[in-house]
Amino acid sequence: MQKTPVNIEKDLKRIAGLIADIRYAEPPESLTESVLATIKPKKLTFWERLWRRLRTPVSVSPLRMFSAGASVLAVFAFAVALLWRDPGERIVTRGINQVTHHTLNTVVLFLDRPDATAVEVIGSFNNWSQKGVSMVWDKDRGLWVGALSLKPGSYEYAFRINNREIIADPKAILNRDDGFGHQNSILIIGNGNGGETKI
Amino acid sequence: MASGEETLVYEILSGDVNSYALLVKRYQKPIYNLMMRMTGSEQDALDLTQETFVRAYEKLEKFNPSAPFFPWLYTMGLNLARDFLRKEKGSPIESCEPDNSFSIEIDQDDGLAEQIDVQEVLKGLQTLPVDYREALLLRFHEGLSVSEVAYALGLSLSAAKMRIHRGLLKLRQLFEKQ
Amino acid sequence: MAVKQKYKRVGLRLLVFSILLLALGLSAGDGRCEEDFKSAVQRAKMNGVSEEVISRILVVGVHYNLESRDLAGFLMVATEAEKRNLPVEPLIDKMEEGLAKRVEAHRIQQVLRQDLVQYGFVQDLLQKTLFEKGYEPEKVKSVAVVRLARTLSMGIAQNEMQALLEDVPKVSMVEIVEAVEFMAALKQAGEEFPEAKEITLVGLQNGFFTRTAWNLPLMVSSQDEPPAGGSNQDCCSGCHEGEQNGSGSAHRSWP
Repeated sequence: MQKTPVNIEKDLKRIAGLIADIRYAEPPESLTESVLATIKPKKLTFWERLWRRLRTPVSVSPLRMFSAGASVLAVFAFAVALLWRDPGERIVTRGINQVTHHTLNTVVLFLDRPDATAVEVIGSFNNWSQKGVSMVWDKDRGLWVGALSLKPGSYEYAFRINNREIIADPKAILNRDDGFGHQNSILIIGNGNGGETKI
Repeated sequence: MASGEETLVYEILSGDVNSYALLVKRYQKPIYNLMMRMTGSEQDALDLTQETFVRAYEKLEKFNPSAPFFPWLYTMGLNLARDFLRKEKGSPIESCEPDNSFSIEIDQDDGLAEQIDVQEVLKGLQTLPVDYREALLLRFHEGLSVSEVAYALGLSLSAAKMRIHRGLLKLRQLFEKQ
Repeated sequence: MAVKQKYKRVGLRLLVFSILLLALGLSAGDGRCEEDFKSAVQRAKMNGVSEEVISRILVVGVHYNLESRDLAGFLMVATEAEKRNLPVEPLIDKMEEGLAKRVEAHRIQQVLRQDLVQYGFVQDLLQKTLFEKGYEPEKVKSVAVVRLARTLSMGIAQNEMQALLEDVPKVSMVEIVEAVEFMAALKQAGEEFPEAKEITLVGLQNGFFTRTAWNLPLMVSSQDEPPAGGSNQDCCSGCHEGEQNGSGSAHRSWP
């Protein structure tokens, strides 16, 4: 049976889709450590650092200058909008404590990393804000402790350690590949009335 | 303006080794799997992956931070793998023509599209020449643009496009009933 | 009062427009990039991408100092999603996630394109399986498509999701989504797919997912560890507490 060009194209798309679906093998966990053990910190001199900074191209075009002026205008316009709002109006911002649902669920998270000097929780609960929710070292338990107040729903989160390393919750029962080389943990909060989670 | 990885590279060059750990974790899986495909050996793949990241770290000053990091890293890895195969095995383990002995039975009444699955595609990929195989994986698995695929494989843009399209056709030919 | 409102509207429109221009000026002055960015914004609007989404992309771009070519790339992905009638907002959430994790913009765009592929697959799959069983497409919201697509990065293969959806009884969409997530948790806890599917289907048939139940994956994953601590159910009015314990058992917060 002769294949039509449409059928061939369909086959090729299918094959491309299957290639995308191939599951890669995980490398051994020790790989990162073994690479780090082999390398030494680099040292740029002050002049090399300055040179690298200066190499980042920045040009001044008329449009750029106009945009700089527009940004001043933007600040002014925002100030006008703020000042002229009705006293009774509330500016709603995103963030885990700025919700209007009737029921908030408090979730307490723990992390066993005594080697860390700072731990934050980052996640979808505050739109992955760069400034995560700081955890506190509980020396009695020997654990990092943090709390989130969340409305019902499904959230992804991770721990950021020393403002560098990002890891999933080691004890979460459900994790997800974030596509960026990390794992996110999944947190699902039910609603308070015992009914179905609404979708 | 600096992108996320551009900032990381700057920090690494300023002496922050932990920032390099982030890049290693991000890209170790595709590089390790590249080495597995090239060598067929877990140990060799592990050694070559490690060597790729160490070599990339050593040459980081030469990397243009405003370009994407992964294609540059991939090129380095692929070249290391090829050098390894040349030294260890005498010649690269790659055929110039696809291995036509691999095929599966396809019912002519049903579309090819419905009958093949991921495992069969994986087996089929292994029979292709390296350039075709890697072009397909970089494009459809890693999601690189055609120009990034060209850069990673040291090809012209038109050669990369051709590898990708012909690679798909070759796979399709392998799956057709003989 | 009317004058106040008028000035306020003008002020807000000026703000959005200024942010747009500010974003234009972020690039290194490459005229071609700015042209690409402008046409990406126009194309997004023409294809129905909402002002809110466009503004959100721009605001995030300003926050992270993105170049105009990167902004154009994100706008193009949003446009593609809109054209194919796929969820757009979750892509912007993913963009923010990638930027917060300091991932390069180009790599984030690749991941977003892969997400689009997954959304498209789920939509097609729902068409082939559930809609043929009588589920109404207009009642399947994008949240369901996104949550199902996400299970594909939790260890559920495409053919496994298809196999489950072909066999589900007639239950609500909510229960189906929760069942697939539950099956992902079983697999991550060590169950093989045939057993995980079997358990999940039994759960669906018995209304197990009218309230999301996670005890089984917990039990499977904790079978070698005695649970440490417990859930602190000290309820005050309007709030519930649960624990996810880094040194012991883990469970969901559920009333």
